[in-house]
Amino acid sequence: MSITSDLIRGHTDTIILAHLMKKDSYGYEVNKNIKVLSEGMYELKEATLYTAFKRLEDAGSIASYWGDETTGARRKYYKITELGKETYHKLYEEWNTAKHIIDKLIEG
Amino acid sequence: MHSKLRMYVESLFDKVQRTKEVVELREEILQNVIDKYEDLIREGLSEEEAYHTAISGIGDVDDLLLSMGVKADIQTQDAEQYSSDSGMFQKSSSNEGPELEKEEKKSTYLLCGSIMLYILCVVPVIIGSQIGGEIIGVCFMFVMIALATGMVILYGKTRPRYQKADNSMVESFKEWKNNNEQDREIYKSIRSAIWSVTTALYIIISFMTMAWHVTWVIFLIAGAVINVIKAYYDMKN
Repeated sequence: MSITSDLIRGHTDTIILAHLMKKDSYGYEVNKNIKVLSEGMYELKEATLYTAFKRLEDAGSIASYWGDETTGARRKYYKITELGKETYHKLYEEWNTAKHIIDKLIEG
Repeated sequence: MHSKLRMYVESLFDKVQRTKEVVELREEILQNVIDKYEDLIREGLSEEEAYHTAISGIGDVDDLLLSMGVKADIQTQDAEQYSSDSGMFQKSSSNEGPELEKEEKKSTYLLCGSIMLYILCVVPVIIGSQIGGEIIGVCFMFVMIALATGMVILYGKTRPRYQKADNSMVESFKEWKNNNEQDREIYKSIRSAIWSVTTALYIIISFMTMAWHVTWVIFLIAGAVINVIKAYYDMKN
């Protein structure tokens, strides 16, 4: 599991961007979505998630704003930018290429 | 149980300076952990289990805090790295934009110009004494000294100051250090200006009055003036 986690962790940015492609979202929703889609096999640590958010925001791939919930706590929402969409497509292509090559290389 | 979660998350940020950015991040993570806790309770876990699962999911926040440049322990390391850091700052500040670069150029011109004026200020006196217009020569000298001193003061003001990149302790320390050095720089230029003016005055007055046995006192006066200025700067710091 830990090796699988390491492999996946290298794609944290792509995973987050993919989720934000669909809609604006906040920290817990992103992580919950990851858990659901991976059928409970993968989940990000908060530290990893927020490091990625900060990195993506600094790079201009995502932007954040405070939501206006009338009930409960206010949440910080993240939104993908045009640059972020480009980055997502690029990362997606890169992964496909890598997957293709690795498949060829390690087939027994 | 929420307050227990809050206490735990707050303890993670204990060692860190409380900037707006850090508090926002803390609240964000706390909200995240609370959401997760509520979800786990809904899934049927006990309060205790949900608390531990939620907390173990936070992971190591040290890297995150480091990336924000706010870890308090960094300060000592930073002091050691200061010399290399300040070199980097100088480079990066000139890369920051044409505006800053222009400012720096301007202040360099100001300093060079003022030094030239200080050196050349005796020329009108020499010429004046040759052609018989000593007073005009001395007047010109004082005008030049006044101009040069004005330029030195402007130089001190226009030299770009270090702007804090964020609110962290490290940045505040850098700014403080930089400002301190700038004050010292101004003091140094004022001191050298006073010495050159003193020498010029000494020679001129001595030649005009021929009272060499008294005129050396001017150096003592200059020394006193410099000490007063130094005391003023020390007091300010």
